[in-house]
Amino acid sequence: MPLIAIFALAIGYFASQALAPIEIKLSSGTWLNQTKDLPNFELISHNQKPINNTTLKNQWTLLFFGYTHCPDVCPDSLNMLNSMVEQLEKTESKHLKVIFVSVDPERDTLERLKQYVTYFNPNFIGATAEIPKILTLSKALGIVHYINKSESSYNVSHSGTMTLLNPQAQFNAVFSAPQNPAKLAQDLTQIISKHQ
Amino acid sequence: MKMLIILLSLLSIDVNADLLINNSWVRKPPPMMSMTAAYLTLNNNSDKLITIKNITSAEFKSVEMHQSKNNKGVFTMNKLNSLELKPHSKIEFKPNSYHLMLISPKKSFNQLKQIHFQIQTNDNELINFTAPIK
Repeated sequence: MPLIAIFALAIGYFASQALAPIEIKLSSGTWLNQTKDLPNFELISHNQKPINNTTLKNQWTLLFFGYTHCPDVCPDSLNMLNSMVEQLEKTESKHLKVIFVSVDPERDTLERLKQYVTYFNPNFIGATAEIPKILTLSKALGIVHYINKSESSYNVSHSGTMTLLNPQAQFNAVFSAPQNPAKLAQDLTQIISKHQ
Repeated sequence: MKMLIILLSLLSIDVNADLLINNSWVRKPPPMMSMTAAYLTLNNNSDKLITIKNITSAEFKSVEMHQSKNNKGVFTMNKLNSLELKPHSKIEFKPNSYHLMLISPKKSFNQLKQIHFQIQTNDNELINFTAPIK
């Protein structure tokens, strides 16, 4: 076989390996082999920085939607996320950002969000926006929320699902509730390490 | 039985002839929060139905019984006006399920180590218990 043909075969093989999708099997979630592009969205972080399709690039982002007046599910989920992050290796944790998106912008000011999320972990980020802007992102991720009004107050029903964006800010994995911190850490370690 | 009740009392497990309360704890909330949740297990050791009519706390303006439910991935939270415990049954108050919602603390959480509760049943029986803050 001429040398040039061997080279061509070798290049072809390596190219196919490089282009082949990385095989991911999750124990606590669903990996989307077909990533989903997100519509243009714009939230604001508790540090008053924009969170959008561009700013979420070059890192993995785990998103959880809730609200600070939630006494049960949200603190439990944020404690779980803190426990999960503590179980990640340093290499993986530096590639992951955890964002708590408040679906209750009426009561959740940026200052309140800051105090809330950083109580659970100083690196967690709180974000919110006006409802139509939140819906642009949440609908694309299959996250729902709705308000239940009572006489004097209201609570918000919301998805317990966590969603993962890849470093191209595309929707790439979903983790349904209830999540287990050890399994979630194991899955995120696998995802992040296989993409290094 | 008497010995068991004395032993449980010594272990700070709140005892009533019919209603046993254990595993109680209160979630320490972030500093700006004016509400949090408490968890416990209610055991009806009697042959009769017990209905929890009301729960109060000396340290909070209001206490409500709630139930969080995961309905096809969406969590909803409902207020319960009362709660029935069938004979010889138990109900666990735990995260993402039944919980007590504690509203408007009268003191800062930093000043509190445990929370005092009083349960009122439909027979107007009053049962006191305490729960540590974790």
